Amino acid sequence: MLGYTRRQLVIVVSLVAGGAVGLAIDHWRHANPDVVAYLETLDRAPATVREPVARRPNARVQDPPHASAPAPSREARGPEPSARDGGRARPARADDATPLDVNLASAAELERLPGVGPALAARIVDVRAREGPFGSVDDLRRVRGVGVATLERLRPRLAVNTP
Amino acid sequence: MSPPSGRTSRLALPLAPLAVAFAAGIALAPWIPPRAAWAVLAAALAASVLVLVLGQAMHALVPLLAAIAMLGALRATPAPLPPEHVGLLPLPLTARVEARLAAEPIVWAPDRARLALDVERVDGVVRTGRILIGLYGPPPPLAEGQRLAVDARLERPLGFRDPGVFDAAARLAREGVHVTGSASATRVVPLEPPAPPWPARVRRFALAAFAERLPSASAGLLGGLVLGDRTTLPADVQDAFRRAGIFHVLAVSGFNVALLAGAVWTLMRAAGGGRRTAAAGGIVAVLGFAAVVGPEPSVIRATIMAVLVLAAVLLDREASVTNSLALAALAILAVRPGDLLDPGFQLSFAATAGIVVAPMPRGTLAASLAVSLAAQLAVLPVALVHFNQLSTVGLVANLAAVPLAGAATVLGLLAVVAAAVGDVAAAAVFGAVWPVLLVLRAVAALAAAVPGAVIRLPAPSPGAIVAYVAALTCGLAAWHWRARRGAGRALAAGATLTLLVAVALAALPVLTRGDGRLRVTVLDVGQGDAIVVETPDGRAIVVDAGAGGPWRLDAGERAVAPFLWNRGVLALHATLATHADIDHAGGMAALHRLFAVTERWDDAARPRSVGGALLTPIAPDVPGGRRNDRAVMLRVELGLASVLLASDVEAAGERALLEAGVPLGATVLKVGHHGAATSSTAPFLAAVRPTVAIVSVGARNPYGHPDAGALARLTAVGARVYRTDRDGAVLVETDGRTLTVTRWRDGSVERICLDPETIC
Repeated sequence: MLGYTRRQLVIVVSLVAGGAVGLAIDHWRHANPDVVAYLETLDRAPATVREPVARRPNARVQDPPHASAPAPSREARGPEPSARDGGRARPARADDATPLDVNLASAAELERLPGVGPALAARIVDVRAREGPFGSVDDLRRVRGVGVATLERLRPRLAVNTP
Repeated sequence: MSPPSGRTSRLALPLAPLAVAFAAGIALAPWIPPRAAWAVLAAALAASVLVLVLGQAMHALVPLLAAIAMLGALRATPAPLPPEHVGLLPLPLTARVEARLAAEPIVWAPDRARLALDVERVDGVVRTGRILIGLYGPPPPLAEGQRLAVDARLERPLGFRDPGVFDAAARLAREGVHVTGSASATRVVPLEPPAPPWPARVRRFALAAFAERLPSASAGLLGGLVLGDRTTLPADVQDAFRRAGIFHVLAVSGFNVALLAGAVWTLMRAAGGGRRTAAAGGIVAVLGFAAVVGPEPSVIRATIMAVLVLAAVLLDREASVTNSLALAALAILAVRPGDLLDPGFQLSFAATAGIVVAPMPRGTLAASLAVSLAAQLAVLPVALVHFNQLSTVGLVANLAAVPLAGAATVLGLLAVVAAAVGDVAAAAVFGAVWPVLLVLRAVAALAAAVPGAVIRLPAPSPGAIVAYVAALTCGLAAWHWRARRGAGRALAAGATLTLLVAVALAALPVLTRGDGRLRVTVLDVGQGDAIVVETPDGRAIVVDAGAGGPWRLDAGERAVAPFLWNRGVLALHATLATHADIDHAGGMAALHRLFAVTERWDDAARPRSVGGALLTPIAPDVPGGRRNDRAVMLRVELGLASVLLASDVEAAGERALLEAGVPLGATVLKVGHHGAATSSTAPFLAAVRPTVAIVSVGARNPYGHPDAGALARLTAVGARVYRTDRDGAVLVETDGRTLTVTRWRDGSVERICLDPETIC
C-alpha cells in the first residue's frame, strides 16, 4: 500500500531538508533582528556606504540651515507632518515627468514613486533627517533597502537641486 | 520491494501519509518546544539520509515522517511580531489609521460594516499588520485595495473565556489579527477613489443582478449558493438550513467548484471542443471562480483538486484523487498552518476524504445515499466538536437539497452570464431559477420542522474521536476484505467494539452528571451576568444569560448554550432572569429556544430543594425603586457552603434586605451590579461576610466597573476577589464541607475549608 521508490524518497527528503533550511533561516531572522539589520547594511557597495556616513556628521549637518532654503529643514523634522498634509493637500504631482527633489520631497510624495512603499519612503525621510541631505541621487544608497536596481529605476524620476 | 520503474513515471507518490504527518505536527505544535523540534528534525533527516544511502529505501519512511511532523510543528510556532507591528502598540488607543482595504467591506446591516485593513500608518508613523474595524453608521462606498484613513478606537480582540466555548480572540490571533477596532463611518476618509479589482467587480455585478431580479430572500439564497455571500439572507432561513443539516450548500465549497468545472466541461464538449480544450476551459473557469469567491480553505482545496484532475486530462495522465486531496492539504497548511483548526477546513477535508474512501454501490439513488452517508459520517466529529450538533434529518434532506442546490447554482452562474449579455436572456434564466430556490427553501423548512431534527450533544473527547476514526477504518477494511472470511469477521468485530468504545466515551459527560457536588459557574460573557448552577443530582439552573437579542452578539447562544452542552446538560431544570436589563435577560430567549426548560422562576418563586441543595430567591422590597433594586437575588446552599447571587441590587435594595432581616450570610458572593460603586455597601458586606467574591464584569466596559472603592470594601471584609474580566469564567465547586474555586483563564485552583472542626 505504501510503496515508495528510492527515487521518490530522495525527492521527499530533499524537499523536507530544503524546507527545514528555509524555516531555520526564517526563525533566525525573527530571533535576531539587529544582526539582520546589520547584515542588510553590509549588502551594499562599500564605497558609497563608508564615505558619506563618515563625512556627513561634521561636514553637512550644520550646512542646511544657512546653505539651503528652509524647506529641507522643515521636511527634515520627521515623517509625521509631511505625511499628513502631503497625503491629501498635494495632488498627484510626482506622477508626471518632473523629477522629484529627494531633499525636498515628503514621504507621501516619495511613496508615489514606482517601487517605493510607505516603509521605504519613511526610511528615506528618516535618513535625511538624521544624517543630513543627500549629496546626489547616488547618495540615496545610504538608505537601507535602496540597491542598484531600485536606484536605476528611480533615477529618471529623481533629482538633487539643493547644493 | 521496489516496483518497476514504469510506475514511478506516473508520479504515483502517495502524499496522504506525508500530509497526515504534517498536519499532526501542526496539531501538536503547542506541546513541542522549538528546540526539541529542531533537534528531532535534524536527527530524523540525518537518519533518513543515512538509511537511503546505506540501507533499504523503505526504512527511511519512518524518520522521514517524523521529520515532516517536526517541520509542521515548527511552521506552526508563531513568529514574534516585527517591531513596527500594530499589535505592539500600547492599547487601547484612539488613533488615525492609514491603511489599505485587504478585502471587500462586509456590510452586514444597512448601518453596520466590517473592514479588514492592512495598516500602513498609525498617527503618521509607519506600522504594519492586519486589523479589523467595525464601522457604525451607513458606510461610504469602499472597495478592496482602496487606501483610506480612519479615526478609530483600537483595542485587543476579546472573546469569551469559558470552558467549552469558542474564543473569538484566539481564532483571530491564529489568523494573525491582534488588533480590532471600531469607528464611526463618518470618520472614514478615502485617500483614493474606489477601484475594485476584477474579481470584486464580478462579485458586485452578480449580487446586484440577483438583488435586482429576485425577491430579497431568494436573492440572498442565490448569493449564498453561488458565491457563499450570506449577508442578505434572513437569519430564519439560515437557521432552517442549519437545522436541516444542509447548511453546507450555503457556503461556497468544493460542490460549487465541481459543478462549475462539470458545467464548463459539458458545455465545451457539447460545442464540439476536444477533451483538452474542455479541460483547459475548465481550469480557467475554476481559477476565475476561486478569485471571485475568495480564499476560503474549502475553495482552495476544491480548486487545487479540480485543477489537478483537469490537468491530468490535459497531460493524458491518470489523476489520483487521494493524492490531489493530500496535496491540497499540504499546500494550504504550508501557507496557513492555523487553518488546521478552522471548522471550514476540517469539514471540507473530512467530507471529501469520506466520499473518496467510501465504497460506492451501483445505481443513482444508492450511490447518492452512499455519498450523503459517507460525508455525514466523516464530518460527525467535526460538527460535534465545533457546533455540538448531530443532524438526524441531514441524510435524507441532502438527497433532495443537493440536486436542487446544484441546479440552482448552475442556473445562478448562467444567470450572471445572462445578466451581462442582455435583458431577455436574464429574464429567462432568472425565471427558471426562482422556482428552484423556492422549492429548496421549502425542503429546508420542512426538514427543519421535523421534531428532533437536530440533537445537541457534548463535544467528544480526543479519545472518543480516535476510537470513532478507528471504528470507521476497521469498517472500511472489513468491507474491502469481506471475501476473506476470517479477516473480514475479525475486522467487523473490531469496528463494532471500537464504535461502542467511542459512543461510551462520548456519552461520558452526560452519564457522569450528578456526583453529589454543587457547582456554580460565573461565566465570562463580557459586560453582563450569566451564572449556571448545577445541583448535586446533576440538574442545571441558569441565572441570567448575558447580553443578547437581535443585532448583537448573543451570549446565551454563543457562551451559555455551548458551555451547557459540553457539560453534558441537554435540558434545563429552571431559568431565572433576575431583572429585565439586556445584559442579564438578553440571552435568555436563545436558551429557551435551544433547551427544553422545565420551570421558569421569577421574583415570586418559593424556596425549594433541588437535589439536596436549597435555592431561595430573595426579592428586595423597595417601593418605587429603580429596576436594579427590584432585581431578584438567589441564595444557594449545600451543607456548610452557601452562594449568594446578588444580581444588580444597589444600595437601596441592600438596605431594604438588611431592614427586613433576611439571612444573607454566604461563603461565596456574586458581587452586585458588576462591582459598581453604588452596590456592595459596607453594612451589606458585613452581613454577608463572603470568603470568595466574584465580580462578573466585562473588560473595558464604559461604566467604569468594577469600582475601586467597592473592591476595597470587599477586601476589607476578608473576601478574596475574582473577576471574570481578568480570570475568565470562575468555577465554584463544593461538596458542602470544602470548596474549590477555579480561574478558567490560567487554570489556578484554590481550596477553602468550610468546617473549622476538621482538617481538609
